[in-house]
Order: sequence, then structure tokens, then C-alpha cells
Amino acid sequence: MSAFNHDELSAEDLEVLRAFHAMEGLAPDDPLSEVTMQANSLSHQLTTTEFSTTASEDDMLVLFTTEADEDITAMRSALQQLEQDDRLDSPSLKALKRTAHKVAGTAAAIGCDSMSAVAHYMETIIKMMEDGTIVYLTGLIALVHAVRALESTLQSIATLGYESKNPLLELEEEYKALDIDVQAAQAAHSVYISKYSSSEGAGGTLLRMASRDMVDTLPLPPSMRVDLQHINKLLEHTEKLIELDTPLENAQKQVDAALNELHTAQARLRRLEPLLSSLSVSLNTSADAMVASAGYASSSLFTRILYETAQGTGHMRQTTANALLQPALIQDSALWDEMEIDRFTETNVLAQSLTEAITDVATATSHLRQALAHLNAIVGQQVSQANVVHDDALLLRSAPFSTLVTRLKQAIEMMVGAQKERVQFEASGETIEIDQEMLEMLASPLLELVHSSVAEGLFFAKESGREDEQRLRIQLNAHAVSNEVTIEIGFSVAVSPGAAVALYETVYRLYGSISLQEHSEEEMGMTLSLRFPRSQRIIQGLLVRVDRQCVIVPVSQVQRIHYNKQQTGKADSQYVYQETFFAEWYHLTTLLGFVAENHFTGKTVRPALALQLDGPQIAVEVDELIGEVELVMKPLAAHLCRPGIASTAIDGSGNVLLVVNLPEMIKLRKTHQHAGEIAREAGTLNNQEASTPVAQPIGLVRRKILVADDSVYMRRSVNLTLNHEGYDVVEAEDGIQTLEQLSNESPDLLVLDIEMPNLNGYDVLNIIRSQRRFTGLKIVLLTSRSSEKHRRRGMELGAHAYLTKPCPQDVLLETIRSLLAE
Amino acid sequence: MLPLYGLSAHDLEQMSDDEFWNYARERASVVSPNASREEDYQDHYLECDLSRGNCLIPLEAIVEVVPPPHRFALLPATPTWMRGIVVWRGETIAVIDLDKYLYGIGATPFDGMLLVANYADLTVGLLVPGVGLTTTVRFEQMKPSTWPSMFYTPMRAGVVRGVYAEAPVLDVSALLPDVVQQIGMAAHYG
Repeated sequence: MSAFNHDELSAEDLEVLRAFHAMEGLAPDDPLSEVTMQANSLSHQLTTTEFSTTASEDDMLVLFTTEADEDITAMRSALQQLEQDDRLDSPSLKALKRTAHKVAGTAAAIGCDSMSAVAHYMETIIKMMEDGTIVYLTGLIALVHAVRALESTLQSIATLGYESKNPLLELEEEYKALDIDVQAAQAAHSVYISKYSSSEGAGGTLLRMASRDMVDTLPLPPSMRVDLQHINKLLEHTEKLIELDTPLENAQKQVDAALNELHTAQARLRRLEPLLSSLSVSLNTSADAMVASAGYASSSLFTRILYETAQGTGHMRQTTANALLQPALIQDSALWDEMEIDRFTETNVLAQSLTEAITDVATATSHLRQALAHLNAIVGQQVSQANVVHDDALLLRSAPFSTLVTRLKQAIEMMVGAQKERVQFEASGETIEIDQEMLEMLASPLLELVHSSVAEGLFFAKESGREDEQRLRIQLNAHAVSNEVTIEIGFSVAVSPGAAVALYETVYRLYGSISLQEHSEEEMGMTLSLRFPRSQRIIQGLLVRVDRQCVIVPVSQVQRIHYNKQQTGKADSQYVYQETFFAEWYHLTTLLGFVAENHFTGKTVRPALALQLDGPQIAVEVDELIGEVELVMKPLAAHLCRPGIASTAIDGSGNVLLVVNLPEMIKLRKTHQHAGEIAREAGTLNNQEASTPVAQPIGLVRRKILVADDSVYMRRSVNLTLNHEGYDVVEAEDGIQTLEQLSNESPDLLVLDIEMPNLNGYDVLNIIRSQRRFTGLKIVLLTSRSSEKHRRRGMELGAHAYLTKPCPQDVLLETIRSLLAE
Repeated sequence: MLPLYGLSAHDLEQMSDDEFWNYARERASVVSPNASREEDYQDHYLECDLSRGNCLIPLEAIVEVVPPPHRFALLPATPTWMRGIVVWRGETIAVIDLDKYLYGIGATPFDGMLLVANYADLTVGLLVPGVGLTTTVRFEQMKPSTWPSMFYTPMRAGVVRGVYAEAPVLDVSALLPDVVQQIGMAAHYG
């Protein structure tokens, strides 16, 4: 914002100002009076700024306007960068989004609703750009307008002393002209979020698990980015599929023609039947005698006629009826002459007609066979082409692995900043195509894992004295075989197991498995290997039988298959299922919760599927392993979903096959088994925690609180409020500084914002969760993110309380008091 | 769009399955212009045999009546009255034993009929021992559902719209949401 200059005002302007100042009782020439006037004008709006009651309001306003000015400057430079970058994955877009979010929150807190609305519009515009609802260039123009509106609004505060709504109204008009319905987009987003977050009720752990699953399997936004090459490929293959229509129609016509030909031949044959019957009556006696002597079946008219023909032409019966038939007819056919029909008897005529009719039937049958074979070949081509088109359609949903690699790389760069050289990031297999939805699901837990490793390798290395000992190496590799993708991620430091919890859960939800391999002592570090299906639409699984029902177990979750023979000690002992080899074993019937029957009666071989979860090897026995299948997977309606069962497949006979997610089922079973112990342990811990503050003399110990927020205004506000209540307060302006302050200051409580640069609040929570040293730290999330989705995620990541901005002062203080058990 | 009239047997033979059924549906929807079809339709009910007598189900809610499959796929943690799941027109739907749902006892044999019922995007298969004729019942002909009857349990009174000739008239707008809700809840509470 350009500084306000009194010299630029005309004499008339100054006169008007003086008059206003006189009305307000302010000294017109006092340089501070301008800001004081703004503070007074805004004072009626400050009711929402609960934290500022203990601070000087004009100081706070100066703080706000200064910070907002800096933010707008940052937005401008981000926009300039975006114009040059011309791509959605530009870091500048993220920075712009974060700054807009910050301004929206801070402006709302101080009561500048218009500024908050404009900044909120910017967030929505960026979201629309990311979703593909609006094109990049239109989005940029809309953002430029928004920044201008922010500037004008801020200027109105400085010049008029109150917030003008005109820039906001003008901006809305400009958006109309650009055909951007930003309010509808905001409303749609609210509905979208509320729809999928309102399902949570008081259902305990299981219900929360199910609700979370629902949110995690949200359908993608109505649009997604599609590679032009993929579209062209799809079009090309679709055209080929369409081109097969004509050959198919021709083949069908050929079949129809052959069928007609056969019908005609059959009709001709049928017409001969009455003639043959009448002839057979006259010849019955003699024929019977002859047939009996020749050994033919008397019931066959054809045979009798052929016999007569053979008699007439002098050809006697051969060793078989068929052998007799063929030469006799051929001979007759050669002798036949229509011009000399008088020479032939009625029997000869009939025999000739019969021969021709039979030949016609044989020819028509042969034609039909050929036509059907041709039709089958064309249908086969069409089916395989349809499969190609289906694969292309799936490919449309996919994106190269490099998109995820880029995000991880950027996240690392932003986190390490100046220490960039200390991190070595290597990636391979970047061209592997993976479903965009799956990539999106994996992105967040992988980012969390990478953040934790970087924090472990760089920031927390200070304490262990191994700083600068070696560089942190992160290796990422993807490869695909058939319908399965494997991603390996290796670290040169051992990452805390807690950091990978979210990744395990995500991979299991994707019907995959994950295994951990620790490096040797010399090499240090570890490698996580993720296996999952390339697509969530087609399931490649093992068809197994449990009791009388068949279910599908995804291949990606099975490490190998073991067979247990009841008679042990034989030569083929490698196939003997050794229960001691597995730490745990279950029967699938039990996991499914069906009534267990006697599975092993009369069986000599029991197949067991070996799995590896986040611990030792586990075996799941089934009654029968039927084979491997590849079927289309369909999600179940919400009310039919069960823990570990969210999809089904339909086999060729129309039977419904449950697709079971074994890791989720086992986890659930373990949760049930250990529920009592967990509850007891939790009770003990709670008692310990509750007793800790009581043991300390209250009043003598000043509790230390770390306030982490990228907004100077918010930090200052909270700081003043907490200071006034007797707390020691330290501040952090981003995620990394928060981690550093946590290490250096060891606060009792952390007030944490979600949207922050470098590491956001969720990242910080993840890292805290993975570090034992922060077990006793209480965390209050204070954010303008008010949706249930964010609240749930925050609480799941270990926050003890979730407050939304603007937050009443007494609510914040009461929350802190209760958490610190004062 | 195919013409509604004047199609010969040959024309019908030439149709694909989809075209034939579309045509059949269009023909089925043709009624006398003087009749208020929707209102009449709403008063039509299908008699269903149950172990304790009949019940009436609004015809407008029944999408299809088919013989049940030989076996249903079982789903874990379901109410006792849920038989399993089947695929219907590419969609996996729950199948419930209506007798057991309403009365809490009895089990419909597999040689009954499966009524596919739909209301507000909820589709459920209702397995009944048998189906009878359709009947027309005006609302004013029904007795209130609180009318004492030995033929349905008070537990499910909420899904009964009224009683006609000793037969409970089911309210599908209450029945299907209740079924769906209970199936969903069973996943968490068993």
C-alpha cells in the first residue's frame, strides 16, 4: 500500500477532513490521529476481535494495516511470478493461497468483513483453478482484480477511516463479467464438505473409522486434469472400436444368410419326407425282408431308400452303413441325367432328390459354421478393442508419478530452505501412470513421512550431536508390473514409526500392503515398500472360499500362499504350514464375523494367505483357494459398508463377491481384542497426567505457551491475552520455527495455526506425534478452518482442542486452563 | 423414440433387448387420457403373503418382482432379518426377510419372491413367501395403524401406514429409510 500523503490533498479536501475531525473531536494535524480515527471508526467492528481487549486498539490496527500491506505486496509478487510460470503447480500459487487465507482470517478477526470476503474469494478462485473449473488465465485475471480490491479496501481504511464495501461490490461485478460464480462455488464447496462430514455421530471408534473412510473416498471434484495424449489415444481406439461395427454387421448378415440357406435346405429335406413315407408303405414288405437280411434298421426310411438305390445301381452294402451310402450315391449321381428321366424309377428320383437335399444341408451347415467363426472372430476383436478403450478410459484418470515426486521435492525444498545441500533427493520411475485419486490420497501421508524424516535428519539431529555428520538421503522409486504398482521410499535416517501411521492406513485403504526394511548398521536408515493396485476400478485378486461363500482377497495384500498339511514331517515340508513361523494367524470366517463351522474336518490341506502388516508376519487361513480373478470392482452403498469391506465384484454368474481388506479387518479385530487393555492403560495415563499439575505449586510456576501463527496480528493478540493471564509466551511464524521453538523452549502448551508456510499445522502435528519427547505437550489448534473435516483431522493427529477464529478470549483461556489442569 | 403403435411381430423381433423393453414400458404407460394415472397408481397395492397373513405394499414403490437367487452373498454384522446382498441391475442391494423384519420371527423360504422396492434413491430387496393380486385401497378405507391387530408387532408400527382388511398397509417412505438406517447402524453396533 502506498503511504498516505497529506500533501496530495487539495485545500478543499483538507477542509472537509478538518470538519470531520472536528466532529469526531480529533486533532487534525496530529500524524497519529489518522490511525486513531481509523481505530475509533472500526472500534464498533472490533467486537469480534476478542483478543484485543487487553491491547491498545490503535496499536493493533496499525499492526493489522501494516501486515495487510505486506501481505498484499507479497500477493502482487506472487501474481507476477504466476504470470511467468503459467502452471498450476507453481509454488507461487500455494504461497498466494496461504497469504489469502491469512488475510481472510486476520481481517475477519479485526472486523474488516469486506477484506476478509475478498481474500476468501481469492482462496475460492485458486481452488477453482486447481479443480479446472476455470482456466488458468481467467483465474489469474480474477486474482489480479481481487488484489486490487484488497488494496482499495485497505486504502479506504487508511483514507476514510472505515472499510469501504465498494471494492468488494465492484469485484463481484467484474467476476460476473468474467462469468465466474464465485459465491456458487463457495456454496458448492460448503455443501460438498458438509455432506461428507455430517455423517459422523456418537458412534465411538468404529463409527469414526467409517466416517473417515467416507471422507477419504470422496469423489473427485467434477473435473480433473487430463493428459491430451491420453485423450487422443482414447479417441483413436474408440474410432477403431466403431470401425468394427461394419465388419460385425457384415458378419451378422453372413450368419443370417447362412441360417436362411440352412432353413431352405432343411425345408427341402422336410418336403421329401411325405414322399418317402408313401413310398415306404408300398415297399414295406419287400424292403423289410431285404433290410432284415442286410441287417439295417427298419425304422430308417433313408437307409431303406439308399439300400434300394444301391440295389438298383448294382452296388452292394459295404462294411458299414456309411461306407455303403457314400459310394452308392456318388455313383448314382454320376449316372443321373434329367433328360432321360424315364429310364429311372421313382425310387431313383427320390434318392437323387434326397442326395441333393442332404448335400444342401451339409453345404449350408458348413457355411453357417464359417459365418459363425467369422462372427466370433469379429466379436473377439470388438471385445479386445473394448478392453483397450476401457484401459484408455482408466488411463484418463491417471497422472505420472512425477506429479507426486515434484510435490515431495518442493515440500522438502521449502522445509530445508538454506540447508538445501544437506538433503539429497533422488527419484526414478517418474513416468509410471497412477490413478490421480490414488496419487492424491498418497500425497498427504507421504508428505508427512518426508517432513518427519527431514525433521529427524536435520532439526532434531542437533540434540543427538550428529548434525553435519552426513547428508539426509531420500530415495523414491516407482515401478509397475501388470495391474500393480510398487513405490519404494528410502531414508538414510530411521524415521519414527509414528510418522508412517497415516501412510499405512492409506495404503491399506487402497487394497495394498506396505513392508518396512531396515538398512544395515553401516548404511543406517530404512526403506518402505508400498504395493497397491494401479487402479481402484479393477481388482486383481485371489478368489477364496470361506464356508459356502466366495470372497476376493486383493493380490497386492498377499505376500505368499502357504499350505498346511496335517501330516507333517514329510519330504515336501516346505509346504507345511508352520504356525510358529507366523506371529498371528486367523481364519477368514472369524475375521468376517460369520459363524465358524468346523473348517478342518476331513481336510488335508489348508491354504493360508501370508500378510505383512506394520509388524510381524500374519497368516489368514481360508477353506479353499479357488484361483485368481480380475474383475470390475464396485463400491458398496454407505449403509452396506463394513470395516474392511467397502467394495464388491460380480462374477460371470451374477454372484456378488465381497472384496475384503484383510489388514483393516485384522486391525479391527486387534482393536476389539485389546480394547480392555487400552482402556485400562488410558485410565492410568490420565490419572498420571491429572496428578502432574497438582504436584506443582500453582502460582509459583509460570506455564510457557508457544503461539504458532503466520499472522503477526494474531500472534500479537494471543500473546497479549495470554501474557495478561500470567503465561510466558513464545512465538513462531511458521512450521519450522515452531519445531525449533519446541526443541529450544520446551513449552507446556502449543497454540497452533493450520495454514502456515514451510510446514503447516498438520505437518507439525505429525512430527510432534512421532517424537516421544513431546508426549506431555498439550496442543490447541486455533484456525479459521471451521469444517468438520479439518477438525476431525486435527484431533486424529493428536490435537487436544480445536478452536476456530475468531475465538472468544474466554473460550481460549478456559480451554488452556483445563488442558493445563489449573 | 419408437412409435407406440403399428409395430408388427417382425418389427418386435428386430428390436434389441433395450429397445424392446423401452417400447414395452412406453406401452405400459399408455392409459386413458381421462384417468388421472398417478393418483390411481398411488392407490394400487400388491398383496404379499406373510406368515401372519397378508400385507399391502404400494405398487408405485415396487420396481420389479423376481424369483430370488439361489444364494445371497452374506455381509458381516447385519440385522438378523437381513438375508444378504444381491446384484440388481448392476447395483448391489440388501435383501431383507420382510416377515422377520415385521414380526421378528419366521424365515421366508427361498422359493418365495423378491420384490425390489425403491424410494428416494434407496433400493432394497424385500423377500416374501409369495405375492398375490393387486388391489386398490383409498386412504379413507384404511383404519389407523393403531387399530388393534394381531398381525403386526408394535415394534414396526412406524412403517405401517394403516390397516385394510386385517392387512397392514406398509409405508415405504418409512420402511426403506428404517431398513437402510438399521443396516448401517448394525455395522457399528452389531
